[in-house]
Amino acid sequence: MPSDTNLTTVLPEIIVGLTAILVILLDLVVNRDRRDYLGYVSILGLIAAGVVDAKVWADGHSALAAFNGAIILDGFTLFTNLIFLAVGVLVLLLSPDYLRRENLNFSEYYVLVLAGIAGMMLMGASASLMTIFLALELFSICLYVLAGFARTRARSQEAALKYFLLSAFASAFLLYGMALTYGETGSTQLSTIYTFLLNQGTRTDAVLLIGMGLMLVGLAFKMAAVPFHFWTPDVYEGSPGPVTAFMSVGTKLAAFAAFVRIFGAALPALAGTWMGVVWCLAVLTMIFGNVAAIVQTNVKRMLGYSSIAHAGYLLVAVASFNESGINKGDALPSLLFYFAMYTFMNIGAFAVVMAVAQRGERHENLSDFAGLASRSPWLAAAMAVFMFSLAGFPPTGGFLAKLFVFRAAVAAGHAELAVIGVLCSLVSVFYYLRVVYYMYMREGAGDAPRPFTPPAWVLTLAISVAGSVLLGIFANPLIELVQRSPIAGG
Amino acid sequence: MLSLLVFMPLFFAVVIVLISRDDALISRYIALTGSLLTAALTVYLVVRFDFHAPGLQFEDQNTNWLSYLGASYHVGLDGLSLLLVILTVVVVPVAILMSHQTLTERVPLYMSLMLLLETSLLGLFVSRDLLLFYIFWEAVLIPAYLLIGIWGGQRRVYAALKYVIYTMLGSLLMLVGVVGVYVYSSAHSFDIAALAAHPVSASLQMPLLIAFGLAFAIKSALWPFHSWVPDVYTEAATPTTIVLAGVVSKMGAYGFLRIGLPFFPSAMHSVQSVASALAVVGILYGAMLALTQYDAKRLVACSSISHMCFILLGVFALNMQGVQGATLQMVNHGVTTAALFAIVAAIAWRWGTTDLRQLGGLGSKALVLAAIFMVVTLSALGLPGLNSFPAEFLILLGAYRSAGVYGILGTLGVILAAWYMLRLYQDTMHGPTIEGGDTPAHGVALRTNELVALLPLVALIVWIGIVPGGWLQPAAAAAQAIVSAVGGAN
Repeated sequence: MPSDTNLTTVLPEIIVGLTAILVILLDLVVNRDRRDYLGYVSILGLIAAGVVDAKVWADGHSALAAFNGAIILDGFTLFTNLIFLAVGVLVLLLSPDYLRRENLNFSEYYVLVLAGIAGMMLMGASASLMTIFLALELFSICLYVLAGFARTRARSQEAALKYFLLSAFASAFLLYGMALTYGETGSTQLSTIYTFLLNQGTRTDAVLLIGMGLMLVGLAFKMAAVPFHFWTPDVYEGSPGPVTAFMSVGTKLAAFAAFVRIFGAALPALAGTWMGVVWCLAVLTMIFGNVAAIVQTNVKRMLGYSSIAHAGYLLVAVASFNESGINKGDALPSLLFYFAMYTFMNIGAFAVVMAVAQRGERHENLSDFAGLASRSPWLAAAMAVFMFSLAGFPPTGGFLAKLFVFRAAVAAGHAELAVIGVLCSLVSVFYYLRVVYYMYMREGAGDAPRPFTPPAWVLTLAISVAGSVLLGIFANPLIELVQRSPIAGG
Repeated sequence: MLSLLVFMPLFFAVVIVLISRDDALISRYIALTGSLLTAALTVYLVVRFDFHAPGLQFEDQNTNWLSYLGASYHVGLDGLSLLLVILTVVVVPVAILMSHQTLTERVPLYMSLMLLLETSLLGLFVSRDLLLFYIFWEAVLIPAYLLIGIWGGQRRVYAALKYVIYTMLGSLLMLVGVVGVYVYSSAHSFDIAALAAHPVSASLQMPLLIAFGLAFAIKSALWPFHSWVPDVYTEAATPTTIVLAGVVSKMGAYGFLRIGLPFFPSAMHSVQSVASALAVVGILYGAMLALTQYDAKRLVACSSISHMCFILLGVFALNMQGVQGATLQMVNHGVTTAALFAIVAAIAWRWGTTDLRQLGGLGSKALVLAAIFMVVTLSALGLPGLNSFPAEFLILLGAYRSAGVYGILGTLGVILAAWYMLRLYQDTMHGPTIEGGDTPAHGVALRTNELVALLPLVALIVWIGIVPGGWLQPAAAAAQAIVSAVGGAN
């Protein structure tokens, strides 16, 4: 037994895992048509984990390493845990009614989502390359199955297969990169790697660079950075609605968390090399994501490309990391703030698409949104809020998030990234406003079906709207939270 | 107190959303009540305003808001802001009143958007923090897009998109400028007074001025950024156009006065001759455009370009006369243009067209309308005794003092204004009476709401014309501060 088995460090993940096991067991006894309750049990489990996380944070623990250095509990861990739990709660609020509507009411869904969240949380807490890979595989496998959960729809099966094959390759890249890094530095512990690289000076070994590059590729795939994004539109379009929402925020943040841990904390000594690569990734991703979204007529696919674009803005934050230390400057807080905002806007937008799409997700085109403002004014208003927030209009949260990131970029000397970012935002205004145009300025077909909005979805939409707008205006609590989320040993 | 003024329209907008359901009449009354209450509060502020004190009055500051970003919620009133606040609270009720006949669909949504727009405008004109200024600047776009695109002429959607994309191009670059000013100024705050006291270094002033100046130029239709005006003003519904042409177009000129001149004095001097040349070209070009129009609404829109460039000519004179004239002319132009669009709408409602070739001889039938129209026409062409004369005289004097040729060319603009305005009047009111001229739809007499909308405007036109000193004085102290900040002549 390792000497530092400190369960407090992984208490939230344990709670989530136990909830998953509980759901499996309850599934044996619960009635077939009462499976919704399993979803709500899962939500309760997530909330419990969140409360524990908040309590651990409030208790003021700082930089607690555990399990022989595999796990670290610092402010970053605690904050990302909260975001993953929030993502999980919102997704699980959407799921029971969705599953019932699509006739897919299997409780394995909840288990997979919970396991996926546990994996993502583990990713944020990892202090060793091995843990990162373990966590990555944990949530990736869950997502492969979840992507193909709509068994009767070919597009869902296609999405699962594409995701699985491409993701397997990416994981292989990541693992090989980790192996090379281990070979060069002698340890998989991120803190040991950091010290080793600091001590070895500026000698940059080719093998280490290759290892770094391979890890970058593996993580960039999960982040949906260009040119590793090819899986995103098809997988997002084909997966079931809540799963897409889950993927668009959860996997992205998990990948960024891993990226921050590895490259930000462990390898700043080599920053000269990989900063340039991140810069290129950021520019390519922003430009391509926004430009490609313009021609989309399927709203879900458009949101997929838009999430690629937002990965670009997040990469701008990463490119603004201070070379002397990751906790210096505004880049890390701005990244975390952006993620919190992005969670609300994006999940809300996908929820609206699911509401309009009807059973079988057949009505996802722009034309199905025509005249939504007359049919369901509140749903249209919510979608308008999400579209304006994603485009970055004040006074929404999306604007503040972009401001934060661009400010960090300018302060780090990358004003050109900010300029490219704002020009890309301008391009994005076009396709986000197009949805608003269809909803408010076009007449709908007379026989358009009523959007599907059960109470749980109304609650999710209300939370998302509140998050997008109120956190944009009264952002101080969230800003304070991200300021208290440093990475230990940085 | 000032915050109450700014957010009162927003409060009433929320009331409309919650109370009015789909009842158009209730929403009209609530909107009118809200805007009149805001106007009453403004009257109270005017009465309590000390016209001799140079600094800010009625200040309201909350330093906690976004303190991490260096921004605070800071609003305050000086003479310049006071004049523009007065303009806003006069024009918005006029627009709401004029909407009674022509706007019949989805009225509650229209009224709440209009009030939302009023809040954003009021907030912009009293902001003393750069980030707050930017937020209110952008916040104008959301209601403006919906107001232009949902109600109006055939090509209104195209006009709305053109407006948003064009304006956003400028304002997104302004965002980079905002961040740049913060990062490169020694003030380390977004507070406008602090940033004006610590301007950025001379070499950085030019690119930052370009970033801000582009946004201001597009918004105030400086040539060659004027091409959105004819389409937007013509296609939007009349009440929307009244607010857009009356108040929103002043945002750009206000931006130059509040930010452009104090923050970038040396750069302003460098661009002075180019900017003044562009303003003069705009005056003449707008006038020539107006001369070639056959559509009355489009004619007024083109005349608006010409008048806005007049205001900018005064701003770019960088001396006391120019700036004071520009400030007064902002109010004048707002009042006069609002009245012009209202009259054109009244004609169109009765005789079914705004085409000048199909109108004529209405003056002998609609006597009250003709009389009011005459006063407004004379105001637009700058007759001494009415509001535009003192302001235009000051602008031309200031322009002549800074560089003689601009004053001379600008005076040509006055002659052209007389030409197209009298032509507008003649083609509608004089000449042979058209068929059906004496039996218009809805009768010849002006309705109550039209009278209540137009008569205060006429009263203002005459009042400012006869006692301009009282109106010039509020802005004197502010103009003095601005001119000395930029180091201009007195």
